[in-house]
Amino acid sequence: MSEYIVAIDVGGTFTDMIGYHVESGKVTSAKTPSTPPDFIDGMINGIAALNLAPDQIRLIKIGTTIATNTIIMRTGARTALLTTHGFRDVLHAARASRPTLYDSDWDPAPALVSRRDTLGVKERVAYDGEVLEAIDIDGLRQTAKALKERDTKSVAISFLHSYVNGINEAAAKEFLQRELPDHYICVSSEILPEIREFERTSTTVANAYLGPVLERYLSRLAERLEAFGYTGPALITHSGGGLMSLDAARRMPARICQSGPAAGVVAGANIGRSAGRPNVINLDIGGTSADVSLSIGGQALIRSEWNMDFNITINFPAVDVSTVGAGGGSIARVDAGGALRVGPDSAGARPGPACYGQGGVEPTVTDANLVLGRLDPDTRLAGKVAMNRDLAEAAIARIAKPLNLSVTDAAVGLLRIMRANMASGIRLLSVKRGHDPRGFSLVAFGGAGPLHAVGLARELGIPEVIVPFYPGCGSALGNLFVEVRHDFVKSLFETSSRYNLGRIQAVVADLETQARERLKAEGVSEGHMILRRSIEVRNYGQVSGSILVPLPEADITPQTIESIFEAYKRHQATIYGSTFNDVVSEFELVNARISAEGDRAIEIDPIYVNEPQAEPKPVSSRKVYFEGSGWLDTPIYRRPELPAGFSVVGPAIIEQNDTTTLLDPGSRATVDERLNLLCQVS
Amino acid sequence: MKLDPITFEVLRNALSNMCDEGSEMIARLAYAATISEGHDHSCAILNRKGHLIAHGNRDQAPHIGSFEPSVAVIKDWFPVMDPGDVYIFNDPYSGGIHTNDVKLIRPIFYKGEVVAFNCSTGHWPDVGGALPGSFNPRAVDCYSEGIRIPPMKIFRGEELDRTVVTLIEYNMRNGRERLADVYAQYRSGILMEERLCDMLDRHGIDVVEQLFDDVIEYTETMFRKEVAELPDGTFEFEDFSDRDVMHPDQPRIRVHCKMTIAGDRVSFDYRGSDPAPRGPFGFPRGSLETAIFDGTLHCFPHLAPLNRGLSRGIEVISTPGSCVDIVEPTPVSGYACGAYEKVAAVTMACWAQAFSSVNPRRMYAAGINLANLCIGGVHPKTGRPFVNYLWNEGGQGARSYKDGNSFQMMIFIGGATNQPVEILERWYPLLYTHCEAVKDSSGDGEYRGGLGIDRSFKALGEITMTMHGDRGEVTPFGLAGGTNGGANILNLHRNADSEETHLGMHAMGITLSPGDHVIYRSNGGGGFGNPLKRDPALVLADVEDGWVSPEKARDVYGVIVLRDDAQQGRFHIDTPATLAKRHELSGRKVNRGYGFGEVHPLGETVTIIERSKVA
Repeated sequence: MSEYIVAIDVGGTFTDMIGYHVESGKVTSAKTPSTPPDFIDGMINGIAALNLAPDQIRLIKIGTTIATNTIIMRTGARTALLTTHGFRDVLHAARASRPTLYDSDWDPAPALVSRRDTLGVKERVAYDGEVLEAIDIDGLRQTAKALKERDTKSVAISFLHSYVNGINEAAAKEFLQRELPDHYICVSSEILPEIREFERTSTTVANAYLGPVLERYLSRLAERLEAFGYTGPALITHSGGGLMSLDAARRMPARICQSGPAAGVVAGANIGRSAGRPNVINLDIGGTSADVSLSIGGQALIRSEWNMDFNITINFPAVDVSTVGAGGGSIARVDAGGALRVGPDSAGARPGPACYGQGGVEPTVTDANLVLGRLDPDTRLAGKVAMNRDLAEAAIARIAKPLNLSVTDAAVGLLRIMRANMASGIRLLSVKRGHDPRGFSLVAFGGAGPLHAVGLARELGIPEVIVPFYPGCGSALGNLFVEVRHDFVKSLFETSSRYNLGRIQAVVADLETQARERLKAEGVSEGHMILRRSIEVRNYGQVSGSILVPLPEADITPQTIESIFEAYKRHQATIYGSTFNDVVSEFELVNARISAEGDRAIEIDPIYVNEPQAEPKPVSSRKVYFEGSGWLDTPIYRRPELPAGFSVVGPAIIEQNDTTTLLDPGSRATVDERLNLLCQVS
Repeated sequence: MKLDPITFEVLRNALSNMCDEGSEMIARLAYAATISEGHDHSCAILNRKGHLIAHGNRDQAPHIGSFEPSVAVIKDWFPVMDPGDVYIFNDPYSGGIHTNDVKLIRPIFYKGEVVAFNCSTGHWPDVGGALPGSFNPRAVDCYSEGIRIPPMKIFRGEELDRTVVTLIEYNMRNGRERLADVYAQYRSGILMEERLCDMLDRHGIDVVEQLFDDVIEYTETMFRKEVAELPDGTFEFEDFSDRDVMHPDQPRIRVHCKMTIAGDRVSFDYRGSDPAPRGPFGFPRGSLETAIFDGTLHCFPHLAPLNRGLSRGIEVISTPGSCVDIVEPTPVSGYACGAYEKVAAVTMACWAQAFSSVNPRRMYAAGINLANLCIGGVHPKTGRPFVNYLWNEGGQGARSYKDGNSFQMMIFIGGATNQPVEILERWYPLLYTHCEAVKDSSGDGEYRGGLGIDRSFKALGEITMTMHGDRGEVTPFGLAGGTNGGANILNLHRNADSEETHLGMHAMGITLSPGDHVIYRSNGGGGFGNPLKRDPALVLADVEDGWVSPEKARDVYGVIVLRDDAQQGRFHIDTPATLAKRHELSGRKVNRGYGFGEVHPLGETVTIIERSKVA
């Protein structure tokens, strides 16, 4: 009884399921169509597809796209925003920047709260927390009356400097809770007590906008699971790659906006770690874009700033995922200057690549792969339609002709450009984070990841590609690995020349108390709590940018503080060269951060079930085109038949249900004991 | 194009991506907030002849035309270069931009010979001169605007030259910090060399040099093809600056352009512009070209990033000594809000006329201009000296098919951001009273400009304040009958004094005492088309959102918006009264002029011409 953990990823099109048998570690998987708008039927169907009875399940871990969808489709609650009087346009002004230099046709994404529902309230707190003006309750009463008459469902309250002193926000919340009992109300000092008014306001607004929708969704989810017969705990993966309870998600719904991608990165980090590769680049290539992220030392990189859209900022700590605008549906065109361009336009799911026969005529990456024999026209990509090679050729001919190339050469060219663009994206991401991609392994996920990974790794000088056993279920698998985790932050603003030790101690102690309480509420027992303390440090006078220095687990003394500054200086010396230390003499402790994690109560060590053949033979072969070698007879293997220890030299194709791994001449793949394909790039 | 199109595309993207990497590295390593936070930095590759091949996609547009003149000077001064040599340079007249933009130039060696150049620019927060920040609205020559660094070898065989560094350190405020910025630009140059040599190893020198030629030819071909599709002819436009800072009684400064299209050739003749004024307004010839490229790229955004191909397709004519082609020692520090913004906007208005019958979507009214507010003093709480620049976002000009956006940065610094009030209040003795749209500040039209912002504040200590801006009187122009946008405003409301005094865009050495209220508001964008043709539903929505008052809706748009319920913020349109009002207003005389709410006399003539009527 209760011997399974179920991990679920609810995507826009499919719901992926992983069943994990706790004792044996055996993993099964299933895929069912997603069921918008509420997605719950698809989840229940998926559990049934795993052939599990409710009482066999001890824990359900869920990643869901519902929060993201609600924001993208703008189907959240009508929300009002209360700001400090005179500061009505903090949200609409955002950071006033644009994504490109020369595009006067660009428009910012519409804000989640309209200007007419943004109202000022008389109150003011100074930067040091002093209350300059108490909140005007009479004015607030008028505001409440106005909101009652509008059909708002939710209120976000974000006043200046509330991250230092949230007293006016708390008073407004208390008053409005009484006046507007049917409204979902959240305040910025509880949601994100961090300096910078736009970012804090935007995060609070996103939370308020999602609140009523997610509250309904999560209640219904709990009811439906109960009706299904499941009475154990259900947890949701948040953007930071940790789990939170449904209750916590009700209070912080904006925290789950990047649920799916975050879980995918955790999967890559864990697969890399268990294969002895702590540093990996995660690559998930889908239809319209590719997600790229880094894991160092087995941990996904986290960033504290995250934008859902260019000016929709949600600044909870989130797994650092970058998107490159290249995927299977990316369209190739010849421009007026005679150059071939690939992307960023995509054929998307509809009409999709030309070979889907759904009316698309423009050549895409998938069409090129089909023309070159890299995809099997009979495989149904991720359960979609079969592919038509003639249509693909006709589409590629549209670029071949003006370029005066054969269809084959044009298809090869298209893929070269796509690969180069993607390699540039990965290189840029690594440089931004201060890493060299050549020291990493590449973990390939998604329907198109394993198809492109080996060529991409060669381009980047990455020696090895790992194709997990279930590359199409990265996010579901990631949810299996994810543990309860929460992040806490509080501003310090103390400098090296004069700091208040007592205050630093108090802030850290307070964060620790909050962290323990939160973990306890989520069912983590005292002995299983892991708290990681760190402090952000920067040069005094710098307004942005900081380095996270770990804070040792002992009493905080002046020596501790000194050691933090020393560690910071060492770090600086490595990135700037030693001269930089001459220049700066004063440093600032910016924020204290605590990452609180539940220790693994259950060790997750998945064992995948395949149908190994002692000496697997190719199931067939076909002509595949490789750059430099031309058309080669290429053996086709079935992934489930390959036993641990099996090794094959390229050219070869390894097919499985939802993806195809391409090994070019010169590469070699070996199946490791966890059934990962480890592909050595020559 | 001689390379095969696939190799071309792969390598062309790789070039621009390596510039992005280099630019990113500058931002990550620099100490100056203008660079790390304001992203005022750039990174480029030029071929061995010194022709621009590629730059970063998020670089600052005003830097871009200064790369070629700067590398030309270095080549001229140093006929012999050795591996590991790096040059520093910031002279405005030969380099084509103001002194704060300091360049590091690295010849890139491959197999013992120079095959290319890397040029990076960082806007250093201070390069000396009379005032902190080196901007000096009172300057009548360049000698009070900071140190001019001639071409100098700052690294000799990767060895830092202490003498050069010390010269810099001695002449700038916080000079030691600049060492970190030198290193940021230097390390970025090494990265660029690694990346380019990697490409050379893989593809060989012949392919890469062919690529350089092809990139230029490709852009030139694309550009000329599109110019050829525009009607031949001469298109003129002009705009003005409020005044000469150091000669306020003189007439407004005129910036005039005659653009001529003949076949696939285009020329910009700026000889109709006024002579250089005494105060800082103008810029050297290099910046004139940059500003023309900047305006042009806004109308041809798909041709970015810039390279030699675009500049080869454009002829620029100017008179040395005029305000758009200044000569030593005319001051230059105020060029961005002065000549640069005017030339970019005037260039776009010339293109708008050429596009008016072919592709009216490429017609843009003028938008927000910079109003640099420098504050300095000693913080009363910390006792530390401080200096900082404040600026405002504001209204974008209307598009021919849609309103301009509110709260945008100037068109020439799209990558920059505003400064959070919470950060400013923590570092400086300021207490802000507003971050809110200036209601009714848009230029009006069938499509209106974006709104300006009010970022007024109170002083909490003794503060010295200097304003250097423009468009306080001659505001961002509208097109096709749209009105000019709202003014940049700087007023002062003294604590005890009940009168608000007008300080304007060229206020110098104002001393603030605690409690003084500084009213600081920005431009709204110019409008496009006749306001009486604006969809009444859009006017209603603007009133409901509080961007436009019911009074302005009535008087300017002829739309009678009535209040249902003030509490709920509901309004409705009185349709019969609106029809009557619009009929009444349709006979009104057009109020021509250069100020807010007036119709720019030339802008009025720039209208959409239906294609069918052209033939």
